[in-house]
Amino acid sequence: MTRFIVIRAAMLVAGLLVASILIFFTLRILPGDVALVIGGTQASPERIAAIRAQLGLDQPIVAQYLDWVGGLLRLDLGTSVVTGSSVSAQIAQKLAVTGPLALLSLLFGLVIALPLGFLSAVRRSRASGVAIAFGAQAAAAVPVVWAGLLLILLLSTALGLFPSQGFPLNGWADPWGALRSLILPALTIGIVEGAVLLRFVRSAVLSAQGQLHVTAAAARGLTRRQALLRHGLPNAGLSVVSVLGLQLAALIVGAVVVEQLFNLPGLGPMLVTDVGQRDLPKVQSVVFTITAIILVVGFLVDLVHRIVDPRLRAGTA
Amino acid sequence: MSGRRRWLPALLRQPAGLFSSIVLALLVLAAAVSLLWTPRDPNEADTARAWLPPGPSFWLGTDGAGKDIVSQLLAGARVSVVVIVGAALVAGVLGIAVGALASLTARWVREPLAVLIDILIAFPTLLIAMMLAAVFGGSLIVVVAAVGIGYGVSIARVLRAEIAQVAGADFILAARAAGLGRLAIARRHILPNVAPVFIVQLSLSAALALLAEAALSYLGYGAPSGTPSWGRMLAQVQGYISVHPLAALWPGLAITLTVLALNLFGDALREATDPRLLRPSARPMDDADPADQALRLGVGR
Repeated sequence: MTRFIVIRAAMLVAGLLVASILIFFTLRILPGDVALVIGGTQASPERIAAIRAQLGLDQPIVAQYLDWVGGLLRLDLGTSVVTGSSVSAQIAQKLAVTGPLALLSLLFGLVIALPLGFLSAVRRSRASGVAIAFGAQAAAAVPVVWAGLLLILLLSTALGLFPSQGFPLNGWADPWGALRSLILPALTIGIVEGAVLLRFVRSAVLSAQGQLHVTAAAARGLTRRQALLRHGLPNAGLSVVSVLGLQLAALIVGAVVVEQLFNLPGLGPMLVTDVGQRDLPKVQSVVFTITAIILVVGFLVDLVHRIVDPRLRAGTA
Repeated sequence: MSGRRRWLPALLRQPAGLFSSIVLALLVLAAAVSLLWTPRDPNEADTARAWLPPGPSFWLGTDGAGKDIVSQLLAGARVSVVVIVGAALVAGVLGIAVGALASLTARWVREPLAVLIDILIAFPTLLIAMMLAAVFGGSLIVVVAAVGIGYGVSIARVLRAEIAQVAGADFILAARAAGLGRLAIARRHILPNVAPVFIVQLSLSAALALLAEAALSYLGYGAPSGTPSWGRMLAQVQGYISVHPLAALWPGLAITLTVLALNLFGDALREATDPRLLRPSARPMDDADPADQALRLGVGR
């Protein structure tokens, strides 16, 4: 176990390092003056000089990179070239919306994917099983924006159940209001991502169906379904746990689009604005933060998977 | 070679194969027709005829700027074809090259490369696209490049496992014993054996590429203004969804049908060309690694 943690932690550090290098140099891929890219062609020479000074562009590029990474290690994500405000503070503020949104979406996704995936596998030769599998196939093909628009039409415009736009101005000080405004966006991501996950659960349960211990349990007098529920589902569940890290990446991407659609003050709309303003230092730190969150969660998920999966525990004893 | 000639009937005999072939043929047809003819100029705006209902002169009505929806849908098919083909091409070349390097080379090359692939998988495609858009501005090239890189990595990961498995088989050993060179083995024995999996992945990438284009165009970093695209059409009607729901129906439906067709096409083609296979709908997980299996289904991409 210790060996596993050490190796996995080393991979996490390597991942963060590679991510920082790729992000930093991708954003400086254009030859020529970064200050001109950021300022745009209409910027005054003073403005260009100011940007250049702020970014330390007179330094060699490696020194600029080390300067940025040094800041990251102190949790200092730099400042925006456009507004001059601290990037760390803004990310923390936006994460208060995006974080709960991603978790709620994951919850909805799992609530959809686990039972329906199981059902569609158990009833695969019956109409209901085929219908679920087909529904999942179709739902996984729906663009997130369209899913959101359809849900707004149904649950907000027609039934008036949830607000379709915005977030309470006082944020989580109004917990019910905040939660209410996250439900529709989270449902949008949850349905689309849940449909993809459902196909994975289905395939995992189908493969459990053929496994010897499930057959053995059935031979001991359990019905096929009882055997699967008791012995097959845990295996399928573990497979789902092991891909949660991957799933999180999809949820965050979904959040970027959905926050824009539902006008939520999260990381997504902020990043869209920053990209539009070519605020490269901020884009760099925001993209790195999102990637780092995905990598760290992937690391934690692997650890949890290792602890809860008896097969893996035995393997490293 | 009779098997090679008969794959098309085998494809069209399956409901999923028939459906996806028809949808994809219609897509290509729409794109081709729109090059020569559309009912009206798709960019011709006239606020005097905004939000017209479907009728004889505007078959599906008009949008908020008075543009003809049918003409925009037809012209938008061009962008979809470009994104599908472009992204599949980039992802396919990258996936095969990196996948082969990560499985067939010396240990000191392939093992670090495998770790690198695992790291790159964590990069969401949309973030790659937004970084490129921050530098180059939004364009279809950015979409194709970002999506191609993002899914190329995921194809590489799936192929790595697949190639490694085939390369360890006895018939490869036999081919080596018979004196075949590395390249000849890769071309004659390994490629044909991983081709079915590759085709499925490629068509999945194309499907995901279209979804990514829709998302990026919606955010304003996809097709430039003046280039009709289904994603842009969705973006333009979003504010009016409760008043003019029908206008949002068509582009969403076009994207969904095409993505669905691409998702089904790969599996159907695989079934038509690979007689050893179980029905894909009933295919259990055949990999030890759930992450590989998840990527094969498009989880997390």
